[in-house]
Amino acid sequence: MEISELKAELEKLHPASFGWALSCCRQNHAEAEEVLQTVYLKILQGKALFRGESKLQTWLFAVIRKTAISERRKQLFRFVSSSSNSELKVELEFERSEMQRRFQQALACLPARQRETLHLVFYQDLSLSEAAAVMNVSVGSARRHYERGKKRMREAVDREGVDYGVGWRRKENSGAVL
Amino acid sequence: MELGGDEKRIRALFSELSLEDRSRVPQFGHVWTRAQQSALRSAVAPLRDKSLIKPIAVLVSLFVTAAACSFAIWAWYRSTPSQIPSIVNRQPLVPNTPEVFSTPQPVKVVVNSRPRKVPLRPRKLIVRQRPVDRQITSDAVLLSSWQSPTQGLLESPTSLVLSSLPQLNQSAKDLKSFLPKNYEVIKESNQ
Repeated sequence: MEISELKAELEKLHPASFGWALSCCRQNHAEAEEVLQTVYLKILQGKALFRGESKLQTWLFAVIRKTAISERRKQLFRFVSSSSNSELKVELEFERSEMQRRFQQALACLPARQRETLHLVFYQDLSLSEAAAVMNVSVGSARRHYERGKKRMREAVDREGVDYGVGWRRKENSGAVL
Repeated sequence: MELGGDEKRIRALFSELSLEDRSRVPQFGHVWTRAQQSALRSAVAPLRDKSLIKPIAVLVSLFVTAAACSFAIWAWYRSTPSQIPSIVNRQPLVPNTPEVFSTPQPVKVVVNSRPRKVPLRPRKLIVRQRPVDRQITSDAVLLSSWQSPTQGLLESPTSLVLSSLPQLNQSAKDLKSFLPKNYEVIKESNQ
């Protein structure tokens, strides 16, 4: 795939990529933008090469995930305290609805793999096999993360006492999204 | 694909989150341009690239570590002393020792009081220590052949008799001289 062609495809996927980067960076806007820029840089330098073995979106999400993990690892050695970031976060928290804020909190309490699986399935509309490919795990493992994530999400939301209008404690549907 | 009640609600929450996120997405052109500029910068200055700096740093650190280790080993071998204690004020053995009643000069042997830890050495380095071993051997020979000046006092007048055997053709009377003086008393007590 030529670079101009790839660029057009990346532009189409840009909003979804940013959403995924935000999820990988725990909703840190600046960090997500940085990660996305690094991913594009890797693509331009040829360090991340799309060979057409999977869907472009799956490949791109896997690159974003790996980059976010390595960036987070690097940040462990740095002491970054940006006032602008915290201001932006406070502003966003203020704008967010109460229900959405509680949902975000419940999501943040989940283990990373479960959060990622839920995001890929519900936010990005990927199937479990595609989510497994992005996360570099088996489909069985992805399904397990999905089920556990759903269960823990429900428990966390119950603890928070969010009323979603309809009774939340309905019998769990074990049918997986495939 | 049919979704359950929980899944529908989770999806609704995620779609709300997605709408919120889309309003904050940075422009693609902006992010792409910055990435291109970074790519150009790293192409112009390849030495600043981390991919080159890392191996160089690793090599330099390995070299420094190896140099420090070899210096430490060299210094350790240089400073290791001989295993046998050093002998100070050693007197040579005099062939004609004076008579028993003369007062000889005492031989003073001073041993290093501090015990040294004997390190285990590799086999290769034993070859290098041969001159030292020869010195140790000569010292040991000197020490083993050393005699006390009062050695003469320990000699008894009957040492000649004790060190010789009686001849077969000697008479029984002569043989009695080899028996102890209280031989008769011992014989009676045994009976």
